[in-house]
Amino acid sequence: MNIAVLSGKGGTGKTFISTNLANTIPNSTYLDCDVEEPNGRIFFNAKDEMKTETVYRMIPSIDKDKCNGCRACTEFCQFSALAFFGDSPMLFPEVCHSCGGCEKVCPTGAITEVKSSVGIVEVNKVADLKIVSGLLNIGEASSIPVINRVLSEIENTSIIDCPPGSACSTMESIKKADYCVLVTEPTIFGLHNLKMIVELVQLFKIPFGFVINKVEDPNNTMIEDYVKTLGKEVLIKVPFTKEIANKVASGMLISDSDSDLRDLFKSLLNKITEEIS
Amino acid sequence: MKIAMATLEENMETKLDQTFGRAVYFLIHDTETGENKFMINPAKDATGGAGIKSAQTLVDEKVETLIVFRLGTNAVKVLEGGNVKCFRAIEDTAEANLKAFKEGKLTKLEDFHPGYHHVK
Repeated sequence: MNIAVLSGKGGTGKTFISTNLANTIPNSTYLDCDVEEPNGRIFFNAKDEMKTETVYRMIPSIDKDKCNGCRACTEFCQFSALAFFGDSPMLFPEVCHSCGGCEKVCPTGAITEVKSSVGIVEVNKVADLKIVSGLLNIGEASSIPVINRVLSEIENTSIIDCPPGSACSTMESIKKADYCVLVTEPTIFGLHNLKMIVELVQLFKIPFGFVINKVEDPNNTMIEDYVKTLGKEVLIKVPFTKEIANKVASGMLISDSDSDLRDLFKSLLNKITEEIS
Repeated sequence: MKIAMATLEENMETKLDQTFGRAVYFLIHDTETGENKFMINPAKDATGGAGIKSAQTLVDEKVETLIVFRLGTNAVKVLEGGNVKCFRAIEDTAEANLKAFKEGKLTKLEDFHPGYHHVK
């Protein structure tokens, strides 16, 4: 079973929920798809890397001697990554989407695909937990190839820590999810962005449920009220306490030290399992 | 010689577009025939690579001179490759810019920005 944890608004607690959830499931895998700023691995204190791999995407390499100036490649590219002047095309690699089309349309074989590094994937193990982190190179335009490589390490029950927002990176991260946990906080901004990711998971037709993090005021029911309009109930609520904030800021897993919260995360898994079956 | 400008409208009294890659129209003036041709910029709604595509359009039209307010670095690469000389526009009509260029009053455009990247 693959459980994706997403939020819309950043800072609501995706990593908090996903790391602690993975921590309470035996033999599970934690996958950090927030490859622009992976931070989940900090909480697991992994010491020995099992493996680190470079992730590549393919970009065209042009052999000017073989180019006959037909411009088929330039006309084909819908991303305008190829410009033509003089006697051969010029590549703008940061605009290239690695579709491979230019190589296919070239009549003389002047275009070959070459590897371009976009980031790395690290796999660690702590006790029975497998930890997978993707890290995108600074300046790279697209996180998709790194996210895909991270997701290829899915094994057993997998908790997928998604990037914030509801754009390309998040969509890619939930593609293999059997269930989506939507983490929010009881604020107007939180609710606004929550509605955006509800739209997203409904579009993808993935079953989903809600977790409210940082709950303080029992009279603030803005999230519960919204969840009710969808005919659903909130899965779990996590309180907003100084203790939790301190532990998280120190890079510690609250489910290790607090047995009530440990039980809360276990109940989250139970509720999800029940809903799916 | 062909002189190009990025314009807001399709007439000579038009103001010039403050940008290049996603400008709506290009004016192409032919100094030999005196003709003024307006064309819609095929890159005006591009999600990416707009500077590259706009510059390619002008290179393909055999433009030799471009009068514009600003250019991104990707557009510049293509324009330089296509031997298009770029001059800084003045805050006035297309007609006035053309006149100023012919009188040698326009300065070369030498500083470029990193590109607006998807935002008009």
